[in-house]
This record gives sequence, structure tokens and C-alpha cells, in this order.
Amino acid sequence: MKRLRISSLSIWVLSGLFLAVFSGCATVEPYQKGNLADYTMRSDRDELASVMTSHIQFSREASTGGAGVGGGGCGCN
Amino acid sequence: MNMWWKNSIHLGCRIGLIIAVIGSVTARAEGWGPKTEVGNLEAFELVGDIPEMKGKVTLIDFWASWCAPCKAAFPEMEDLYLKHKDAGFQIVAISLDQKARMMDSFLNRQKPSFVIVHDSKQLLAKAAEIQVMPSSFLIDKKGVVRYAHKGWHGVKSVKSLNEQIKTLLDE
Repeated sequence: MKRLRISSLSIWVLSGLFLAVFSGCATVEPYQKGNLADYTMRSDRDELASVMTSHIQFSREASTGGAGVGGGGCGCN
Repeated sequence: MNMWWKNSIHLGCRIGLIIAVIGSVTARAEGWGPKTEVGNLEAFELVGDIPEMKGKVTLIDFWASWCAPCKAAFPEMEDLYLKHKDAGFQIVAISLDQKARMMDSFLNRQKPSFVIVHDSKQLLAKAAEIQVMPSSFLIDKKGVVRYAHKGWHGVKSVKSLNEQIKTLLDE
């Protein structure tokens, strides 16, 4: 019975600590996404690097493709 | 550990959790929406001349040079402005660019004839609770928000804006 009480208390304390630590995470507002929308945030901005990465992946995985997702961007609309 | 202390910690954690949950749910204050009275915009440290809004139908558009749909809306907004400006319609486009250089670069190419204001500190955007880029608010002659638009949807946006502008101009 005593052990159960201590465990319950620990859970509450840990939950409180978890929230106290992670409540510091900030949300990027839609109008603050200028840097995220920058061209340098794109994963496919360097054509040569993209080709090399694709070649390495093909050599390792014996498969290619699957990289057709948009990188960066403002996520505006 | 003393029983009193244990109970106090337990109670403290519970209260903390409840406050955190309530805080996360109510974190977003109410921004601009229909029936919001737009007060004096001078208080938001905007860079540029803000025109008088009383007696005119005003479209306040929040945009940025890094936002593709915002830029796509400019030619259409220019057309709307030229079409209705003589009837008492005006556009105030508020740039939320953090770098004025980027804003100027776009404006030098686009050269819009409506008013551009720079919210460099993003104070107005924060007050209006902008959740989508671009966001625009159609304000009636009394200075009250009547319609809010989120995002830019091409012809659909132009059509609805055109109808709403006409409605407000006829009032």
C-alpha cells in the first residue's frame, strides 16, 4: 500500500516536471516563417548534391526514388 | 518524508497540471474576426502612412515577400483596387517581412498602387492572431471587420471579395 502511494506521487511529480520543462517549446507563428521559406532551406537546392545523394542511396538500398516531397516552404495556404 | 509535505507536493503538482492544461487550451487569444472593431493602427508601430479608414471600405491584407500565395494575390488585388477605388474602396497591404530589403525588392518589381505598410515588429499580426498567410480582413465604413479571408484561392477569392466589396460599398 505504501509503495503504491509513493509511485503515485512520483508520477505526479514527474508529470509536473515534464510540463515545466517542455512548456518552453515555442510555436512558430505563420507570419514568422520567413526563414523556413528561404531557398536555402530546400533539400533539393543543389542539383549535384541531389544526384550524389540519390546515387549513394541507390548503392546502399538497391532502390531509388521516394524523395519527391517538398522541402522547406512557408506552408502558407 | 512528512505526510504534510507529501500532500502539499501532490496538491501542488495537481494544481500545476490543471493550470498547464487550461493554459494550453486558452493560449490563443481571440484575434480579428467579424464584428471586431479595428481601432487606431498607429499604436502598432507600423512603418508607413496609414490612411483614414472611417467612411471607406478597406481591405487589410497581411502578406510577406517570402509567401508565394501572398504575392500571387497582388495582381488581383490591384485589379480590385482600380475597379472600386472611385466608389470609396481602399487596400492597406501590411507586410510582415522581417527584412525591409526583401519587401522593397518585391515591391519594386510589382509596383502596386495601393497603400503598403510595414509591420516590422509584427505587433499588429500578433494582435490580429494571423493563422494563415495571407490573411485579409474587409472592413466596413464604420471601421468594423465584416469579412475575414484565410489564404488565397485565386478566382474563388476574387469572386467573393468582389461581391463583399460591392455589398459594403452599397451600405
